[in-house]
Amino acid sequence: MTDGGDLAWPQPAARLRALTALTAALADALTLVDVGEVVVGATVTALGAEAGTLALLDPDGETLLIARASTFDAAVFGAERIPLDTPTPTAEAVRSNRPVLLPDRETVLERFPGLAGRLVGFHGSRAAIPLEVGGRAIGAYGLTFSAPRDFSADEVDFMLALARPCAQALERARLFAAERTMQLRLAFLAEASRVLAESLDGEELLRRLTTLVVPQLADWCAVDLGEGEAARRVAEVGETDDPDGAVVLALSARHRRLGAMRIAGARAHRATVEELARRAALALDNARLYRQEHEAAETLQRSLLPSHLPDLPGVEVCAAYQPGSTALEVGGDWYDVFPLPGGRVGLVIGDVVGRGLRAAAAMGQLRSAVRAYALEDWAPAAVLEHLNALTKATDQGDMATLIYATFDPYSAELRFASAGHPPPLVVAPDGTARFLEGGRSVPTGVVSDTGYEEATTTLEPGATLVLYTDGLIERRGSTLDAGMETLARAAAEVPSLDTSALRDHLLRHQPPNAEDDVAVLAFRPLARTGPEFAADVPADPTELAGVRHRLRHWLEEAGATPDEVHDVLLACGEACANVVEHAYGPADASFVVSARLEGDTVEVDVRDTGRWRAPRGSQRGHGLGLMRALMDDVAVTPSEEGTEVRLRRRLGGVRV
Amino acid sequence: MTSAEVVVEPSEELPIARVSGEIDMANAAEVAAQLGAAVSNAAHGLVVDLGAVGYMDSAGLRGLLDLGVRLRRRGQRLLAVLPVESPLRRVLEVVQMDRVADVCATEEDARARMA
Repeated sequence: MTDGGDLAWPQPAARLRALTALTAALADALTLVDVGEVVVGATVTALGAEAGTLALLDPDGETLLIARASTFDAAVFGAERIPLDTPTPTAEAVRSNRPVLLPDRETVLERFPGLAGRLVGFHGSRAAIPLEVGGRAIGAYGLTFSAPRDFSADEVDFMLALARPCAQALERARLFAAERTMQLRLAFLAEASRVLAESLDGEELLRRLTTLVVPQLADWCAVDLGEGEAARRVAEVGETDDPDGAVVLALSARHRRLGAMRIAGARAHRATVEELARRAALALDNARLYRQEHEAAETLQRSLLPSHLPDLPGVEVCAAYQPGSTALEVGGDWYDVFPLPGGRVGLVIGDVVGRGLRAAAAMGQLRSAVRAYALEDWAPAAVLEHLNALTKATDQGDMATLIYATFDPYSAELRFASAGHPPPLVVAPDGTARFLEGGRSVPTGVVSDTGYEEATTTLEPGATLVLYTDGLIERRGSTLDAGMETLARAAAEVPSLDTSALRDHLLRHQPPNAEDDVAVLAFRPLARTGPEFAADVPADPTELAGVRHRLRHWLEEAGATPDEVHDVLLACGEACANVVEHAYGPADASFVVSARLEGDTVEVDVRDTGRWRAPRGSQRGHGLGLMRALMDDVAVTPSEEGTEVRLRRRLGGVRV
Repeated sequence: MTSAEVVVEPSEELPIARVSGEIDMANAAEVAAQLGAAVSNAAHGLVVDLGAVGYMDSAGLRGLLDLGVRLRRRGQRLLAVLPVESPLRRVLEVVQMDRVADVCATEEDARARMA
């Protein structure tokens, strides 16, 4: 044993101070690097060593992380890794969980011959003290002294005393680091899940995925969709010198391989990257499923909407359906237009609450039901009452808002009833816009035996009725009232557009972030065009040819084809003949024939001041039969003042 | 005043009456009378060519229908000639003229039908 007694070892009071200082310094050190610096620095100082090392056992249990410092250098932690079975004093201290004490050069060479090359000019001593937590060495600190040293039991106790707080601090820092890593990983994955959930567009989703990976987890990331020959790169971010050496992670979900993610220059745990790939694949597959249902719902929706609107005389009408921009926002929005008896028009707009296939299917049923009731010529409120009763009776449970309106072109009267639907908008020819607030009741499918309100208004020629679903006025972060105001303003800007241009204009003014689906229907009675025809005709058979010739001329001027001229003249002639045939008294001395074009429809009135007599005899009955056969619409309106026969016929060759 | 003209091509077996102009309640009875007079007891029937009729209302149609019924009772046939493109064709269909008359496209068709 070499005598090292002349070297100044700390005395008891100094030892206590050193221990206290060490404990205080460790209390402030949180990370492994901080703790490592304190341990190396404090032990070297407290024991008057020349240099110190710290070895920390990796969680894998097979590797040591080495930090070194001399009295002159700051500690550098984690710079070196050695296998646990390396023959060095610190590794031996960890392995044995006992102090390794080497009083002189000879003892070092004897026990660790492999260190000979590193001991040139070394004549001091070394010691390695295990850092023990819970009976297990988590590392060791080593000291190198410049002179041989005989380690007394007292000295070894002091070195072990220093080891205790060091070991605890290191363990704490390690747990802290592990927890921090886990937190970061979870936070990252949570963020990744959020980002992946934001899009239901598969490729957009993968582009986002790559921006999550680079630069946070790796230097380069690429994603391919499909397999083998069919693989297609949809996203790539970052740079790498060696794309072939990248880590490849399969994107698989529900037993389907969707593609692959490649990563180069990874900085994260493989587990983190694998979890990310798993979540991305799931999100990708969800997007695919959502898209499938979205497409199915949209297809169903469109198939249930009218493929084209009927061509109705004297009115202009157009409609559009626009599915929601994202997600499953295909819903139960619908519109419908159909002719009713007496030249009237039925108009429907509705919205089944709910989304997806179910709502689209419910919409189809409601649309058929409304048509069926409407064609039985129930008034709007009655149609809604029947519809509500049907919905409750069949227990479909699907709530819907809708408006059913009828328009009579003769009287310009619009009758409507609303089941909790946003109010119709009317834009006058001068651009004045007003909402029709009347006739509102609760949605259908909510309460049995609901009475429905009905309201009427006049829709003058050239005015436009706009029916819409809430998608047109709903704006995120704004009130419905504000949305309606915006709609009214947008409509008022362009009162003179034809209905299809108006519809497109309104759809363009839709909130840019609109995700809801939208149906919109624009309806406009056309202004009467061209000069009217009018003739005051004596009730005499010999007068019929004259009025016929004048009306023929007027019809030809209006652009009617020869066949149309013939049909209108004959129908009108029959109406006139009926008046003449029944002209008995002075009050029946004359009657009035008038005609006008309403849009592309010719409308002829024959008004007398007598009372309508039912045609007598079977042959005379051909008159009314002919009128009905030749005209689109024949209306006979008897009143106290006389009888009016109104004939309407759509002209195909008309020049509007 | 409504005017129509009836020109008869006499024949023992099948006279042809060619009608032109317009027929309504003012002259329907007169036109019907002229057509009725064109058929002798010996004739197999009467061809009424309506090709030049610009207008015929239910009064004119009634005259033709009555004539058709009368001829049938006498074992004779009424043949109405009207080009397929004439707007009057639809009118004849509405009143079911074919119940009492053969509706032919041309006079040749009418003769062929009687041959």
